[in-house]
Amino acid sequence: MAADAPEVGAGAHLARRYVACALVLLLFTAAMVVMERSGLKRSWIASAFLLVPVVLYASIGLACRTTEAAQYFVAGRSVPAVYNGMAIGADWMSVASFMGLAGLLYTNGFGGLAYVLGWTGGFCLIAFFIAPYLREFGQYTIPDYLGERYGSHWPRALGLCVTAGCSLMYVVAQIYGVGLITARLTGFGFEMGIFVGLGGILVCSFVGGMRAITWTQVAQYLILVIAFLVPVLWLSVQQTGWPLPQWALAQQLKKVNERERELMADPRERAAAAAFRAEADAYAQRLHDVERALVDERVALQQRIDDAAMHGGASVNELRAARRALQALPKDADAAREVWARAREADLERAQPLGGMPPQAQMIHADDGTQVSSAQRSRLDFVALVFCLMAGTAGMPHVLARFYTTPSVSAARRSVTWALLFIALLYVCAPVLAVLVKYEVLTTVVGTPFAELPRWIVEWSKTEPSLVSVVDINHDGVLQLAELHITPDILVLAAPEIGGMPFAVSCLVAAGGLAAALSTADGLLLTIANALSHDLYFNILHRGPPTDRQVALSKVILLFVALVAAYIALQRPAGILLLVTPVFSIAAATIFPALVLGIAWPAANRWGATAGMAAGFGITLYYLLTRSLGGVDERALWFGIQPESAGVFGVPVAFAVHIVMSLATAQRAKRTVVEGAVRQP
Amino acid sequence: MRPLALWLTLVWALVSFVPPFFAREPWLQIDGASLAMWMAAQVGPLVYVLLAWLYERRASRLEAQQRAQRGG
Repeated sequence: MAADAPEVGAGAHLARRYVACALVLLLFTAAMVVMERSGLKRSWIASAFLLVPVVLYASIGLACRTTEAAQYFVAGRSVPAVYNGMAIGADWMSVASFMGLAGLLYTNGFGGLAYVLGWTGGFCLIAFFIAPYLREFGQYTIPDYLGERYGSHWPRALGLCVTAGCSLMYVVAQIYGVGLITARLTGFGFEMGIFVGLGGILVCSFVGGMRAITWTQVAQYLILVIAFLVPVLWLSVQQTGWPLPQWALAQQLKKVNERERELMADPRERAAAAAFRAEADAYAQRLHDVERALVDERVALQQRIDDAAMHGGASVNELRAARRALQALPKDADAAREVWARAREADLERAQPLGGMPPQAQMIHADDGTQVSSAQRSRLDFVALVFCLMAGTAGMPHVLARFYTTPSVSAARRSVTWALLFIALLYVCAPVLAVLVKYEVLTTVVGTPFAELPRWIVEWSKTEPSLVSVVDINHDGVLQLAELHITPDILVLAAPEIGGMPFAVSCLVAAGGLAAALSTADGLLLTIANALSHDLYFNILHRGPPTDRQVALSKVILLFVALVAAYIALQRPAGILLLVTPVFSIAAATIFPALVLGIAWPAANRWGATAGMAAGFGITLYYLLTRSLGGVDERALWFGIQPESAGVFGVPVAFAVHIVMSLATAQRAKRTVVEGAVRQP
Repeated sequence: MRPLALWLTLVWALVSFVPPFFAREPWLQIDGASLAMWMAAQVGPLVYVLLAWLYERRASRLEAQQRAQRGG
């Protein structure tokens, strides 16, 4: 489809094709809604929403296959600005943005807005200080720029380590998301979902490199943005009568605030909170003497099973529940300690008002330091996170590499503006979706008798109880907010069902999530593979090889990295956002200062860059590890800043060390600065 | 270009880092939430688009002028 796209004169033709692609998607969704009402099976609809987009991506990927190095690494440097903007949008809006952001804004309230500001504001730094200069210098990868600009293998090697490490962590989160969505769409298990999704990723990046993923990402952007906006507009019309998300936000936020105040004063909510506190106390009791508590628990459960079997007094369900509880008991004291400590923490969280969620409108906690919820941040912590996300965005290799693909410096600049516009379109709607869904949950779900729970709760809690669960802890037969647990990662996927939309819209949203995950995973895998093949093998280990060997090696590495990432994702790591956020701190404290000083300061040299990157990385990693392993100890935090924002310490240290070392070694390093490396386009 | 980039960076910093410090001021509440919330959720991202667009326009104009001077 887009094989000839980059050639001159193809612009209008391309625009027509992608507009047609968007219209076909809307018509396809409408047709599926009609067929659903005519009785088409849900499994057929879900399969269609998985297959049609994947076939589209595969077709584009195969049509753009290449073995030419310039096409494979930088799409022939011929991608028009507006399409590069869309590709950056798809590359950037990962499963964390698509699925995690609105979910986080739902559970953490507007404290989660740090992500909206951070993930958009970073593009201003890219526009002003990085993108046009990178394009002018014209390399293949970010470590490549560092190596050539500073004339040394050390900055290249450090850049390579950070690029590969950060991108690997990031891609694991994407593949985890792919597994979740594919499992949801197909009914396969999570493990099978991961490998089906992996096939979709590899068919683009493996055969056509940057050229194939660019044109696939344009289609993926269209699908993901439509998939996100449809439920937002639907809920806006449903709740306010107007298809204006921002108007709906203003209207519904007041109602959510009012409902939250009612729930905080509701005696039934307080009873549920008290029951969770009592359960937490029981866990605390067990944690005093874990060995003995474990033995007692095992004996009591065995006794119940024996009594039921001997006297027949218990129902089959009770007997089954007792057997399940016995099987689920931790195997030894260490495992019990870990499980019970985690359960106690979860109970204490849910014993707080609103089930541990801060009031929606509160961005930060009170000046006296009292927190309504542990999810709330202080002013300084909020600002620190915004800063880390911004600087991390401006140092994220898979996004920066996209600026090498434009035909000129001015096109690189224009593509930042387009990218920011396309990204902002989704990001300004994420808070709206969070508020509209919260309104639905607080008004139509909370207070429902357990016997009449909506279908989505029953289905989700049956298939994935770790993602959605309900428990009648105060035994009043009615669902309280504290008794409902929704994992933030699935809120967007569940939004159509929560809002009572047709199943086809749920599938459209899942297809959008899949597009977000696939597009980012493609970009990340290519970034890792290119860095390892181009920078490590052909620039550090073996210089000057034939370019066709570079492409072949990059493809082999890409396949290997994809399998490693899939293996890690199979271990079901922490939540998507938890996995992604520290990556920004590391990129902010290493690549960002080296890029900015390399571009803006001619005196920056190899010694400064190497020492600055090492120092930034060291301090960030030190803070991340020492303050987050074994739980966050609030008293040990510097200025109350959470570990994921460690980059706020790493960035100034990296800049300072870079500058001091460059000045100190100015005479020695003068000759190593590459002519033309510092530009003013 | 540098003064323009620095001025735009100043606006960027004001929009990004100042409003959160006033997030709990009762006199800065609009429609059930603080001004800082509205800045972060809606205004901030749109201001960033505007800043990137202004920079791109100005830089392209300067480039065209430089090309014309070199050509003349």
